[in-house]
Amino acid sequence: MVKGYLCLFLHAHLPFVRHPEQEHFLEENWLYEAITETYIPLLNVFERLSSDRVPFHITMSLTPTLVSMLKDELLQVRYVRYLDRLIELSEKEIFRTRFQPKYRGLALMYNRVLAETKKNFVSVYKKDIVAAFKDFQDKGRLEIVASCATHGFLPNLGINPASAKAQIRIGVDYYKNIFGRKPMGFWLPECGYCPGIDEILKEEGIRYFFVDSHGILNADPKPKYSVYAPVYCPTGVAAFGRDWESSKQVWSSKEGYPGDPDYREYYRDIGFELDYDYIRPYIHKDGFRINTGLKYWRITGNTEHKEHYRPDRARAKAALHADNFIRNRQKQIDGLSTTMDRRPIVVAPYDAELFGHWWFEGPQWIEFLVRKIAAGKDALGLITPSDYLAKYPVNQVCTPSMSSWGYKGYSEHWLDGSNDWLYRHLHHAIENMVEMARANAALLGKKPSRGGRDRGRDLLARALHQAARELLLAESSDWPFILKTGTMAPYAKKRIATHIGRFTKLFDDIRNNTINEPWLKEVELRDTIFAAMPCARYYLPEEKKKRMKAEG
Amino acid sequence: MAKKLRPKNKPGKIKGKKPKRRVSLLSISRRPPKKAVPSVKKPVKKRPVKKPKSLPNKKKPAFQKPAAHKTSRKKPDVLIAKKPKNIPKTITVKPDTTFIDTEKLPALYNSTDVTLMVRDPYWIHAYWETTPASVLEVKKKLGVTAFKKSAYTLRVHDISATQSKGENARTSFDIDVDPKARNWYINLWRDNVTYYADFGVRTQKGAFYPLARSNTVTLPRAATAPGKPDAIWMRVKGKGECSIVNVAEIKPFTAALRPVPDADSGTEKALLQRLPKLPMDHEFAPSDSGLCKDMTGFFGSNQFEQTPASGGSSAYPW
Repeated sequence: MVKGYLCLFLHAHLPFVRHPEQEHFLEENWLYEAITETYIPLLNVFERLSSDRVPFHITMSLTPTLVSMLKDELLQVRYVRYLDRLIELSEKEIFRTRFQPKYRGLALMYNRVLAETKKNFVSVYKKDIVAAFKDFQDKGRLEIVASCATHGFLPNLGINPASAKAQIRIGVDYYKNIFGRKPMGFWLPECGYCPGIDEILKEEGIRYFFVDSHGILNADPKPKYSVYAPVYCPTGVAAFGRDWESSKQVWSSKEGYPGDPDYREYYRDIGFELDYDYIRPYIHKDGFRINTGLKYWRITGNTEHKEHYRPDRARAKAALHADNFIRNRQKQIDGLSTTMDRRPIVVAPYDAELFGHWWFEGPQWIEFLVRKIAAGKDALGLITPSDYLAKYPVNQVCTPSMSSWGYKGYSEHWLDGSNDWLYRHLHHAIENMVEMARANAALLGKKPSRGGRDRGRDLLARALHQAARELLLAESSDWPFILKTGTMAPYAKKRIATHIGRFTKLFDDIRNNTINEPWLKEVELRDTIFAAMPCARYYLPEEKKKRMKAEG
Repeated sequence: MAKKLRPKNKPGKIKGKKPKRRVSLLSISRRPPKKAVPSVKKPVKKRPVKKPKSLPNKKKPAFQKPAAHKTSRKKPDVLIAKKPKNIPKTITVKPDTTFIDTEKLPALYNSTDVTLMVRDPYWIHAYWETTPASVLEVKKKLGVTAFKKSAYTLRVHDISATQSKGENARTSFDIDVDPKARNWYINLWRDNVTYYADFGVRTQKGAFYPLARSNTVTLPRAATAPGKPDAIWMRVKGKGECSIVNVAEIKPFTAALRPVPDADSGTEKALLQRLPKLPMDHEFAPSDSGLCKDMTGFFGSNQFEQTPASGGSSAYPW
């Protein structure tokens, strides 16, 4: 008999990094690494589970930035090129390690996994991973929720509600385009919530979203069931609170599972370890060493000396940790069920990239977890938030408190000395965008002229939409995040400057009626995100947008 | 160079020498504007590369590997131009056109404004900008000597209580800021407060000349809210659309929920079945079974245990 539920949530997100202007771009590797190590392994897990008819109710978010990169042909082609190079390297590694049995097995493993990945990516998924995830959703095994257009941190953007609205609406509409249905849930980037956001979600027909624990704990009035049941905002949108115990077990680098000595060490990569001349063709074009993804060592302990990786032992550990996780949830639920009138829900959201990319054995752990829960007939069941709401449609009404899942639980990670300078520019750009959209409201309502007869009008509309895209890209929470953490900070700075610069140029050009078409075309080719969407329209006031819809 | 070439090329050279070549802007733009030589090579390389890309789609995957292999090693990148859906794929341009991205953030926006942002329950971040004209205005009013002695000030107003207690409940405090500063972190002593700020100049005598007024921000709570005895419960129906039914308006039932040992105790059905039996009005006394306790017990403090309200003062029975 099920006594309580676990909601496993995987948040898959990467910032929009696409540089057609350069043949090799280091930051594009984020996507390639995540595909190889996280997205395809996750799909493999789902595939295996469904072929064994193991029920799994996992919830996921695929952010619009990630989806548009995964759908992008250029990046797909480049990913295959990336894979080819890695496969080539792994072949060389098999040869190089021929007298080192400890490492040869690993080289063979990588070679096999990479070849399979390529086969899956090219022949099975036809280079379209999003479609594979969509497939699982259509089969009713996976629930995918929508997210903000470009992962904007809403508490900081919400100074001007128009930008928060645009972020959410574009996110929802993009989801509809891609997944062919209305989203039930919404992932607020970085769990960043502040009162008022639920109103926008309500307008878009969203049923639930997630907040961090203290968003629920500090809600007004204090919720009766803490984070173990959702609360309804006064608007009727449900807020699910993150459970801190389960998150700590997985997230924490010290006490968490990923830090176990038997797991693969992320920070020892042959890109850094091997002879420079040997590894030279597989590292950065400019000659500096980067991670290749082939790692032969396990964490071992808090030492510089690392033992070689043993996949069998790591796999056994993953199974053990899945057991441990289930046992702890059961304890939690046993304690809760005596005091609640319903079965409690434990919400465990994680970054999807944690599984596989950082924690190499993560996907295996998920598989063990799902299988053990399904087989155990224990007090624990997996559930998606919308299923839970269908079971328990009556919930307490509270206003969650402003919160995020970042450092110290509020906005500090995205607003401190290292990154506060950018909000001045963002807020001004947002203001200008709204003003510009309003001034051209009549034009935005119209479709492009037939056969491109009215060139001036079409050009102006294109410039407006592109300006909105540039603004959206600048709003991404990843840039302040990177600036704060300090690694790759120059890139984040450059991106903000680029997008704000492009926006400002477009804004000036539109105002002075001096739009430079070749320049605009080039920008359109570079920042292709939401290329098919009339982004500037989302900055119009609501009534105008509705009227426009009514007029068709 | 590039600019000069363009007008010349248009009428004569292109027509005369070569047919217009469709070249991806992308492949061109990443090339530094060096000489004409490399840019001529570019399109030549491009064509053989385009083909392998279309190959794998048509042929069986078995052929794909070697093809893709070669592609990746030689010059795979020019495939770019094929991408976009809505946007024109390629445009006809001279190979020496360069794309200029300023990558410059505007230093000033030529406006006088101040903005507040919440960092956490005890910190606000403020940033501002003034135009020389607006400062000059104040300067004129004050006179040069008085202006020199006065300070730029953020006057932060606490308006949390104004809604319930009227305008007199407004309080404020001043922060003198460095004349060169453009932003400030304000440390506060209370959470869950609503503020706005005026940025201006304060004279030595204490007169305040505001330059700009900010937005209003509400700081979050730093701790749990007091539990209200009258919890409101709500039902949201439907799959796609939400139709809201405020259960509390119909029947207050929460405190009377007794966890029944069977598994379905919590389901909506069971709840609703029990609803009609509950008394509707204020005489209702909550169960003292203690089973449906507040969750506070779990987290240490039990100070907000729910107790029934004695009179009918509350909108809800307890």
